[in-house]
Amino acid sequence: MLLRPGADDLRLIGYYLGKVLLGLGIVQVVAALVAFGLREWNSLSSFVIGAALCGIVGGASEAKLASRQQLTWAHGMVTVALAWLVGAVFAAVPFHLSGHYEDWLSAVFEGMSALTTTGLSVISDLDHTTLSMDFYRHLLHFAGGQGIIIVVLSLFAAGGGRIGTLYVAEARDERILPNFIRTARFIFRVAMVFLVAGTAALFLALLVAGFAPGRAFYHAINLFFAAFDTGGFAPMQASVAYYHSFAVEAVVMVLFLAGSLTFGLHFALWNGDWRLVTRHIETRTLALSTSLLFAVVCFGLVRSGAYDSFEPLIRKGFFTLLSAVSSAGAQVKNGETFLSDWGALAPAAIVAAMAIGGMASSTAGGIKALRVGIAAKTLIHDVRKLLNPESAVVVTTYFAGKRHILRDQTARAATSVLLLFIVTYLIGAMVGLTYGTYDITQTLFESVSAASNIGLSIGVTDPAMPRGLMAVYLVQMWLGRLEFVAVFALIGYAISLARGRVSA
Amino acid sequence: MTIRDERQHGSGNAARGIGLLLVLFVIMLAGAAAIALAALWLVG
Repeated sequence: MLLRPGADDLRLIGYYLGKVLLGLGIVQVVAALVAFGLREWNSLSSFVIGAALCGIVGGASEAKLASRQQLTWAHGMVTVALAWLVGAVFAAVPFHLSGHYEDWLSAVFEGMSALTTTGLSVISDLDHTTLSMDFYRHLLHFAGGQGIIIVVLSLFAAGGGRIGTLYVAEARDERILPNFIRTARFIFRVAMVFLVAGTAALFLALLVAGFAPGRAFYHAINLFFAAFDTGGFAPMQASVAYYHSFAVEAVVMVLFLAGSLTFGLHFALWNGDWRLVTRHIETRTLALSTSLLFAVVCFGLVRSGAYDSFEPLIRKGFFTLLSAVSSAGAQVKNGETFLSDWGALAPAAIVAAMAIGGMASSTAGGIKALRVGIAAKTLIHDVRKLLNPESAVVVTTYFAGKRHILRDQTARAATSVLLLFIVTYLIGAMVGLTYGTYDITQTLFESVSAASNIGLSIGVTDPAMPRGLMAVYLVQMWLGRLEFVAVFALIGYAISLARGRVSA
Repeated sequence: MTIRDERQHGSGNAARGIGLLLVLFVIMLAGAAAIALAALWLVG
């Protein structure tokens, strides 16, 4: 029997949600400053209203709901699950006021897609939105990718221990350094270094492509936010295809790679520990799966007659595969022509890559290479047990920062989440089929893209899509980002509120 | 990574981190190029 949460528990959750809203308010203030600098007055008023709402609700929560109660694992899980929902709603205010979204649900969808770094977009007429509004979409990727929770704890937290619970609940449970605050600082240091280096590299590539300096800088910073945080938004409707530049595509691919690496591996690279990178189960899983899937993509593209030369296989095929596996979602080809131009095999490999996703403890989405690697190791372990005498002790190990023994509990946890992702993909695909206007290839592609927080679209997601399907994708993005556990904790918490035993 | 390790080594060198990431990218791109060429040779 679950214990019913008390008023103090709810106050504590509300208090931390208030902090998240204050963090989101700061993001909207930054966007407002950009709008002010660019003299985009309508957008400025939208951001001021949004930031004011975040400030009022967040500030009131912090002032009225302060509690001395210690933050527990359950509080952390529930807070994080609610933070993404509440964050998406408040992030949607400027979107809704911009007039580029058909209804409130579309604006919330965009907010969720931005914060979860998915990148599926339902904006109308993106190429004619204001620069500050477009910047805000990309800035939300950065805020969501680096983790609103990390932002909050870095900016507001005074102490160490109890805030760590929030960090772990966001499905990023790797401690790189001995405490959470130092880990958060390292994550920010990595982000800031890449912000400077990545934006500079993109700026130069865009200058070479013929952009004027001001325009090059604007596109560079937005492309950086989307690529490094494995988002999927782009400043132009045509995504990265707009630039027709291999230099831009190459820098974006490096940023995909940087964004999909676990921060633990960034730490190893910064310390020159190459062996740790090459031995890591996630590196090996991704190297193997990406190689196999790229072979399938190439086979499909050449066999279907889509391409018969080297350059498009790399610039279209490999870019799209890397965009899928890193969960970045940037496109160099119009998604609506994937099936007609590429046949079925190459898009099927892209779907598999989207399902696998990037590394755990990164901004990437999907099942994650760690779980896929552990599931594969579990299968090998079971086969070895079958082939050995019953009395033999079979031990399987894997390397993830250090050598671990594969235990039943780890294997069960990895395969459970893997199964939950697959069920979610199938549910989204089946809901899409009920509308009768899409086929299974389209609905499966889009459903996997939403639940894995990828952002590649085959054309199902658009401003006029069925609202029921839009709501399903919105929930899938939320579930995928939190990798289910925090959402289950929220549901359990809600049940215990209604039916739990009152503690003595 | 222990506190003593961190004190000895700090949290690393950013330039080295980016350099090694670029090496990783080049290896990845070389692998992709080999696969693409093999596909063109075998299927094309």
